[in-house]
Amino acid sequence: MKIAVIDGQGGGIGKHIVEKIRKELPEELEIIALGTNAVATSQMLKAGANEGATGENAVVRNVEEVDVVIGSIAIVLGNSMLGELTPKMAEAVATSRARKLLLPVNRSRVEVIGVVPEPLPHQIDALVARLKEIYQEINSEK
Amino acid sequence: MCEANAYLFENGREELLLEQVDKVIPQQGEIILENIFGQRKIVKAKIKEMALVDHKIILEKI
Repeated sequence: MKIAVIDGQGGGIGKHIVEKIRKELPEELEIIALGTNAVATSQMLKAGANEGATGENAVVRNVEEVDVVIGSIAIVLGNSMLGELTPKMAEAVATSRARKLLLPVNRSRVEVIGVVPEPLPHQIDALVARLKEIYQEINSEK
Repeated sequence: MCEANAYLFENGREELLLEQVDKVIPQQGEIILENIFGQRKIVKAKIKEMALVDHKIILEKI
């Protein structure tokens, strides 16, 4: 299974996600770090991603090639992350056939109603638990 | 969310300084605040109160 983790700015959220996935899921799981800038990509690579790429074209091309796309909800909001996340990137993620696992945190004044407020580490735990289920589903189909 | 919000206590009022704070680093009379998005603020202040059940960090200028 191939997954893409997308983050921008300092790459802190992406880094935590990659670290947790590496701890909880088998090594054969391939993680592509897609940063909207080189710092974010580098943080995710240091955390254990297999490979990384930076910028709009990297995001647009790679979200079509993976089974799951992971990030904060900002990755489907054009012009979020102080403008680093471009409308083209948001469109590519939203229209990708990959499953999307999104954390309900953003700085774009978007609120997701019905979500129980939880600390970020708990949200990441829940995301990784869901990813485990998807991993098992995909493996059992093979 | 449940990370703490940082407030600056001034003139008897608490003004919101930074939301969803992840790190509080005291350094040479200043406090560096960093939130989960990597946004940073540096203030010449001391910690007045940390009310963690209420997710509040209250700073006071020095």
